[in-house]
Amino acid sequence: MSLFHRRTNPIDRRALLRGGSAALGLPLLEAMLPARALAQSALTPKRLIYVYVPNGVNMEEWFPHRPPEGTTAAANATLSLGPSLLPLASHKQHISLLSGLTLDKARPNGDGPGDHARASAAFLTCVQPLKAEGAVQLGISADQAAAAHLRGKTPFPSLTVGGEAPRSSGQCDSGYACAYSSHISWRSATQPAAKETDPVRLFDRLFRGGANLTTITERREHAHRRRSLLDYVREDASKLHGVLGSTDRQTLERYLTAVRELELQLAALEKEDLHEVADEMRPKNATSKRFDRLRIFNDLITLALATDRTRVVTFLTANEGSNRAYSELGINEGHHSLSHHGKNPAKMKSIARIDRANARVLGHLLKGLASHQEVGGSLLDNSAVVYGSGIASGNAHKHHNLPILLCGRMGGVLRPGRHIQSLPNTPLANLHLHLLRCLGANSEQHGDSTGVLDVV
Amino acid sequence: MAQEGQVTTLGEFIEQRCSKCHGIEDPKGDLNLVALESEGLGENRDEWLLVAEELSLQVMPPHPEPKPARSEYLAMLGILRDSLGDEVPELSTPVTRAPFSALRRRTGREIAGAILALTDIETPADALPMEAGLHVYDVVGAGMTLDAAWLDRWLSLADSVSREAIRLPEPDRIPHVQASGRKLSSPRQSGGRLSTQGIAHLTHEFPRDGNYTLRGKAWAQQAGTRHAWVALTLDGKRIEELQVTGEGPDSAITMTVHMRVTKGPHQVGVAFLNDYFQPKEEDPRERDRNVIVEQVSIDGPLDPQPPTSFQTELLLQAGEGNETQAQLGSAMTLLANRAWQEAPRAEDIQRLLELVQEEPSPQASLRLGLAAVLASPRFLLVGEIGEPGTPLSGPALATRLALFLWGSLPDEQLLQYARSNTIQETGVLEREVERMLQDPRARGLAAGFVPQWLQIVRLKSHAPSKELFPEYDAQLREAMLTEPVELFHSILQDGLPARDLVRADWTMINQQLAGHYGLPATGHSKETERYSLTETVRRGILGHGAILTASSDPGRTSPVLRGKWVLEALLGDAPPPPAPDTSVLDVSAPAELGLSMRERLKLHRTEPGCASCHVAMDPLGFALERFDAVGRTRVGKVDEQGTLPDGTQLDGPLGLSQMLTSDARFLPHLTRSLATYAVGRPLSPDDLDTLERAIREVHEPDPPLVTLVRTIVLSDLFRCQPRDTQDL
Repeated sequence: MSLFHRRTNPIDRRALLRGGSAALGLPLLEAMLPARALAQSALTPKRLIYVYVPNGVNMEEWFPHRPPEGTTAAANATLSLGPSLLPLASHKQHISLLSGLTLDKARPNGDGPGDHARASAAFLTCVQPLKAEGAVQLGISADQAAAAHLRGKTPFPSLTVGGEAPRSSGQCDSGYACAYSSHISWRSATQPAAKETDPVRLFDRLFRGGANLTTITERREHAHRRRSLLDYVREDASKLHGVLGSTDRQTLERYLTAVRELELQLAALEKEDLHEVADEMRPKNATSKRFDRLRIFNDLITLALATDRTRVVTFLTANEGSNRAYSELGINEGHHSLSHHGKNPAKMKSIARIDRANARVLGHLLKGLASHQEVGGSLLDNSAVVYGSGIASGNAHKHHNLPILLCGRMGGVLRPGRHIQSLPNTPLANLHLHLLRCLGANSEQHGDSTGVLDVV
Repeated sequence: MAQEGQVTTLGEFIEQRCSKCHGIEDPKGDLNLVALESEGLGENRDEWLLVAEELSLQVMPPHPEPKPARSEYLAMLGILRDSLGDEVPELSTPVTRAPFSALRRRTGREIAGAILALTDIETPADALPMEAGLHVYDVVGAGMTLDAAWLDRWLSLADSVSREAIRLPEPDRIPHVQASGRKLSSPRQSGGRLSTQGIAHLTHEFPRDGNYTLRGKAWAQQAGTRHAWVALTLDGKRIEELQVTGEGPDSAITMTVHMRVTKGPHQVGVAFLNDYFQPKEEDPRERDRNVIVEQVSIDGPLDPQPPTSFQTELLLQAGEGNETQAQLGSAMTLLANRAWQEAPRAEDIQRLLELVQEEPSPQASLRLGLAAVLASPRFLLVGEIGEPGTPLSGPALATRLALFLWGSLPDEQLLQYARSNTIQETGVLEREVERMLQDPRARGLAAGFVPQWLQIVRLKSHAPSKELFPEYDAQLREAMLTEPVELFHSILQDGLPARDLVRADWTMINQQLAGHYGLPATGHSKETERYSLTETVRRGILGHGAILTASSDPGRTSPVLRGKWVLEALLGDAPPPPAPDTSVLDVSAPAELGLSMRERLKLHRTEPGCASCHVAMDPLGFALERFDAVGRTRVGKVDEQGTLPDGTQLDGPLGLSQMLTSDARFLPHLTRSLATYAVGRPLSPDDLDTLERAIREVHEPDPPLVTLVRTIVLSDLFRCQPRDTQDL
């Protein structure tokens, strides 16, 4: 064991939450960067975060009521927010409001009903999902394309988090597999990325070797054993692999790929320059209060990014089409039912209330990211956060002019604080492609992209 | 046989593609296409439209007849459209079905069942929650979610299961809990400072009965003639007393006690026993005697836990007198033999032994070995690759049988038949099915199948309004989820007719749910008991709280959802979802419009495009309006009548029960659902054929549920590889 390993410099919860660069002090600042990154501080990693809210929004309260006066250029230059986004007012300098983006692949295009399933499925893939009994066929999602580009840089190529467990069975939407409604992150056309919905288990997986092991010795032993175990099962799987036909190999190949990824993860987690995280950061008990839970997830996302466990995160705050009642906001009708408000003013108000509560949670994430200082600015300055839904207004199931926010500077390539109006029917995929390029991937195309989004 | 693309006229098509079954001699479905064709397309419009529909869906000609090319279908539909007009449907995009891997991962539910069977350990329901659904039944396409994140969680679970199942002679690590002064609680005093007599304590949940080391560290500010006295306390009782002779933090003392403590929450603290306070004393340092508690800590349990009975039994079977390595080897063999579909070979055991050789003790070796047996794809993946239509091997059939009937692993007896490849013999299979269905583990069938069949899995994420239904809580929900499972299980084990599922005038519930239903409490316990419903209008699952709640909105009932549920879950006749541009009916704000919900729906049914489905759904849902959005009986007048599309009057839940009991769709749909769940793939036309042939042999007019299950198991559908794999 090296005498100089940095594991004894845990990031302190209070420092992280208290925020502000002053709270941290400069020496700690550098401690927060892995030695490797410190050596190349010019290359502070860029991060990519996608946050999805289901059932669309109340569009009348999302966009500003009165468009700013003047020319389009002038309008683009000043950002004003609709009432639903007022909780984000103090973060305005970090946010751009996007309009005109379209998710064509969430439209029926001959496949009939199922706009909810299609909206979440297509949001990051921009591919038309296949409607079939017992099958899925989609495409790789933007976050997974980013993860593939960054593979090997962090222990976890990407993180997939959800505020609601996926539905393992049952009807979800008009003949589409439930997997579409409960996953925005897709590793391939036929494989959604497994979604973590328990904050405590997520923490343990990221920072405690999966088993709430508190001492380094324990984790070393555990990792050693895990490695032998992986060796053993890899050989087992390889032996089986030889005797199977091609379709039947698929399941086994997934198993083998998972084993290989875990081996890399183990190795990366043993690197000496990895930041430790103090025990008091471990969420206590999973709270059942929805918005508290979402905040805890956001804290964990911030922590995972700050400690460079991963650089790519997706967060599906609730499954698409979710019909939970927001009793905590005094709303007794299910979200999905409400979203079909038929222009009923009381219902539209309730939807706006949900939108506002969700915006408040986004504010919490932005605050967390902004208060974590690293080389080249705050964590938020080095990130792009895409927030929104694949449905515009839930009432009409439309998929154009989607409610999308783009937050952060992503290392200076984004200039937030503006209203970016795209031409009608600009593919959402153009935004994805733009961000992938900003990350350094040389993707030619993503989904139905027609080019990169003009954000300048 | 026709060459592709050569058929150009309808006559040729029928001659070559259809006449074998729909010809002059005993035509199938009483449809003689050769005769119809000779009369021309001007006659028999309805029959031709039916033909057009079959062609548009490409279901005819059926497997294994050769399939016409797409262009051929298009040409024939074109000919039909020229004569019959626009009612002839477009050629549908071929229904794509995933290439079905005969090999699938066990579902989280099946993994939990296997762990329970193997080690007697119940795993938490959410230990492996990250499953993505493909189908109504979780077994279909299971394993889609199998990536590093999933495997990471699974390995951690396998790890904790093996730790719990196999105890080490030395405790793994001794848990240590400590609290510093300011985190201790003490009445009316701040933190660890005791300025009057009292206790500063830490409340700790002791994980089990065992030996613990309790420590308390304190120092004193002395005053008066005597030294401060302190005590270490457990739940307020002194377990050690000590005089603090020094002054200040540098003279802190530590009290240490090793003792046995019982499982549960206890308060460990430090007490200050002899307060002294003379404010008028001249020397200010002699005025006040105080104790400052710096820290309280708990180490333990220190003693190893006794071996689990699983562990003892395993080692006993593995030959207790044997030399260690041999015993370990046979223990591994026993584990792998039970957990894996195929029997382990000598080399598999050898590799397991190599894996564990570095472990410090035989118990630790066994522990890692168990984790490896579970982590192996030989456990995780089930099913078998084989030629289409050929019988499954003994092990594959036994695994399928145990998963279907028990949701678990085969037991010793079934394994013997499996490994000797005798389970495929009809006589053996019949006897095993009888035996397994009488076994208590057969509850696994009900527990796995029923929540999915009835779509009440969604109850877990459904949250009725707390304001309107404050009595709905997690316990009530659990009781609700249990009810249909218990009803199904009782009907199955007691050999009762399958139709009792929708007409039974009794149910299996606990006291809380009985109270919720307004039934007089006959039971005196929290256990599930049989209650008579003869005095009520609840019949079978139609009156079950789980269904009535899951098919409601959080704040109100939804006749549409309930009607849709009856059609979809019970009759397999789901109405198509509303077209994307359908105007959405605002059913929840009837008052504002001055119309009742019934009136609004009535209005809705007059809209073309909505009518055809709503006339079928709405009356079914209205028949259940007697029950509110959490399944309670509504008192007073409830509008619960309706008219079915065929003119039948439907009156309340009793009427609905009668209608479903005699509905010709109920039993076939139940059978198809069970069969899909049993084989883990969507049924192809050929599968349905096979199933139908088997079910036709059931001659009872009111067949017992157990007969349906037995018939499925004994059919080729269950016992063989699918025949039409190329279609899948």
